[in-house]
Amino acid sequence: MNLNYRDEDNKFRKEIKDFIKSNLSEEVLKKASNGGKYTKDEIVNWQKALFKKGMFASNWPKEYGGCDWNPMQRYIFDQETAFANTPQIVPFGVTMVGPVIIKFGTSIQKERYLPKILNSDHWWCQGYSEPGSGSDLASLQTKAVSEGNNYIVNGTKTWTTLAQHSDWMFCLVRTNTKCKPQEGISFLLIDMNSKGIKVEPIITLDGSHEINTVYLEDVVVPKDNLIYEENKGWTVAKYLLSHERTSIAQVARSKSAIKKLKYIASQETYSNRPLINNVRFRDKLTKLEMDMHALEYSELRILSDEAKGAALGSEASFLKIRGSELQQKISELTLEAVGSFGIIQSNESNIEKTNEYFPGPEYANNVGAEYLNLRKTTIYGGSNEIQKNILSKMVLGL
Amino acid sequence: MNLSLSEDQVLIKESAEKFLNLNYSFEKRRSFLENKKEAYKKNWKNFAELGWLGLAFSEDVGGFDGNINNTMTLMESLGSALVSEPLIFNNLVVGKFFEKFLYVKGNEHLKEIISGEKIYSLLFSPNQNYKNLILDTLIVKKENNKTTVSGKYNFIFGLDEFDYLITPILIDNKIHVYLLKKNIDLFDTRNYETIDNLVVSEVEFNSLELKENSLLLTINKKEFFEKLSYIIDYATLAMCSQALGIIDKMYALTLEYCKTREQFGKKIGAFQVIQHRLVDMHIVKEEMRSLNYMGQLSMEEEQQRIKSISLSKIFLGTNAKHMSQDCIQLHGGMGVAKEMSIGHYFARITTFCSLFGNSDYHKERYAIND
Repeated sequence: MNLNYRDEDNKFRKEIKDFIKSNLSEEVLKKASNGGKYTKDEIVNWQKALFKKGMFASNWPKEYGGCDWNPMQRYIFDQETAFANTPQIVPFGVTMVGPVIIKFGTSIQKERYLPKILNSDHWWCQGYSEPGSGSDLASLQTKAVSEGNNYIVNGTKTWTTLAQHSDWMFCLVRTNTKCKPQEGISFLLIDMNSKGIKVEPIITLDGSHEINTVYLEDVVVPKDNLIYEENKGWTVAKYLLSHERTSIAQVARSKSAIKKLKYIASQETYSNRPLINNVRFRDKLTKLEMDMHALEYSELRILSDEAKGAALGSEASFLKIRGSELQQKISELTLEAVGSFGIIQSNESNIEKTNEYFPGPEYANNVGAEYLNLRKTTIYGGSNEIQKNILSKMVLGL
Repeated sequence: MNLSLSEDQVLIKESAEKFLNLNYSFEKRRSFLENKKEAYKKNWKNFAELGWLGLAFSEDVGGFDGNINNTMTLMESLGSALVSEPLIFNNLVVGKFFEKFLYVKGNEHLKEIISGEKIYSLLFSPNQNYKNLILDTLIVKKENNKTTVSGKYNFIFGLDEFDYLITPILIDNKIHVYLLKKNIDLFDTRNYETIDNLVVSEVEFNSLELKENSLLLTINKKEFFEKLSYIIDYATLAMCSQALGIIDKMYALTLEYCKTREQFGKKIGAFQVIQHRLVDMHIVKEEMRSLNYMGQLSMEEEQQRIKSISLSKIFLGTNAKHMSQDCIQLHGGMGVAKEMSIGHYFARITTFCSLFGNSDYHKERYAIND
């Protein structure tokens, strides 16, 4: 057992650092470290640059244009980009639907979609949840009716992250109603420019627009866009969800957030001493670091098993539960650390009723909004309650 | 012993709820937030007519006997309706200020506060750790018989629509309290929106001359802070009472949601894991009420007051905060959508946790006074 960095790992780390430096200005990174959000263009440019450099699609095999990094390389990349506050790779294309197309897609489908995902020419969104089907995903009602070479799709998808920017949606639809719910679902790729699609924003607690409701009315989808077989969508969805749930753990970003929190606590004072020296506060901080390292080493153990060929299963649920809880706890303690400035709305322009000027220290800008926004983490990607059901069934055998 | 609501409290609760359901519904509130200044004026007038602005004060000055239980009952109702008008700051804090520091029968300022005719605000910042409470951010200069003050002061709650700013200033180790008139004594105010749609102001003085005729009183530091401490505790309890109204409402909304939302072919409230969490919430909200009543009954004995108010505030920042998070969780995606009211209650609880001293501050205060 070891977690030593070999020379090639250190060389790799330096490559990543240099790449970040030459592609993102200090100004941009500083803004992001103070809670600023990246625009779509900034994210796309970053992803394109990564791809050009051969640093994109770390989970794809080389033959498909990925970089097929080993767990150590992925770990280093995640850490360096998180500590530098680079844009985060939008997962829906490269992390989620990409591996699905690689595993289940036909060669025509691979040719058609994969290059555009790699070059970030297409933005993807995930059409899973529906107003009546959240935790109980298998009960979804969006219908796809066969008509010649097409499906005619009708229904409503909701909580659709970034649908407002998306070119394509991977979508779970019902193709058979006369069987067990899981057995009548198919996995379709839908062009978001199709006639009959309407995207409506959902404003979240922090006042920002990330998620949407997507209405589908008589949308014509060619049967060529079906992934795997008709009524086998649940198998595809489960494969995809295991990818979503590991990336959802956000260990490196949490580590970086704790570093920021420590900086804040060294700047803030309590009874004329740095807040970080206050025992009550410090204990809470140490507890967070314990949680973070417990998660970090759990993830490393899982990655190491995976590298040896073990298939990922319920482990992803464990990472999702703890990872999402940790994100929330860090934001909660950060809110405490910045004091009452945390309750003043930020000057971020993508937020409703924003303040023109933020009166507190730069690092406090957006901290309150972040606390509100991160409530989503224990709800999305399969609520933590659902993850616990999965674990109790698959691991505990209950 | 009697720890149930008096007839007066029941009447206040019922009439407040009736008024707020009609005039301060979630939809009406949304429109108030679009034009805060106008809504504030209109609502303030209504509150005065309902007698709410006099509830905390004695009949001598035009109030309604000042019973604390009645006041806190009203606060609870204001919390459940997410009322944004800062009654705590522009009514309770300033009214109690005159009551404690300058009490005379028929006090003109108090009369104006109770009638709602004039808006008073106190230069006082209920921020997380009371950092600026000793007013050391303000610089006082004395030159050629003129005393001037400069500096910024943040976290003044309430719109900057006040007519008078009660301004305590430390000069020669004594507190001088001035009554500054807006637009006559020139100072800058800037407003900021909070995450729960309240407004806080920052006041900035640029060599403002403090004139003898606006001096209300001079008092030594120790006495000033002793009396101010009572006022702050009163206001803290008022905020905890609003929080109690919010927590009650969040519980009711969440219970209702779990009774109607179906997944896996049944109401999610039929799952035992959800039932247990709802039961925990029920207990939390009842415990919160118990501590709140303890606070109401402890106001007049200093050490008891300090300890019990701190307990209420600790409870808010720990158990009640945790419960507010759980209410969002049980709402699933609906919990994070701003069109639902639950998130607005959540944001208000979040704000309240960081005002009037956070739970760590009150843990320490409790320990020191135990």
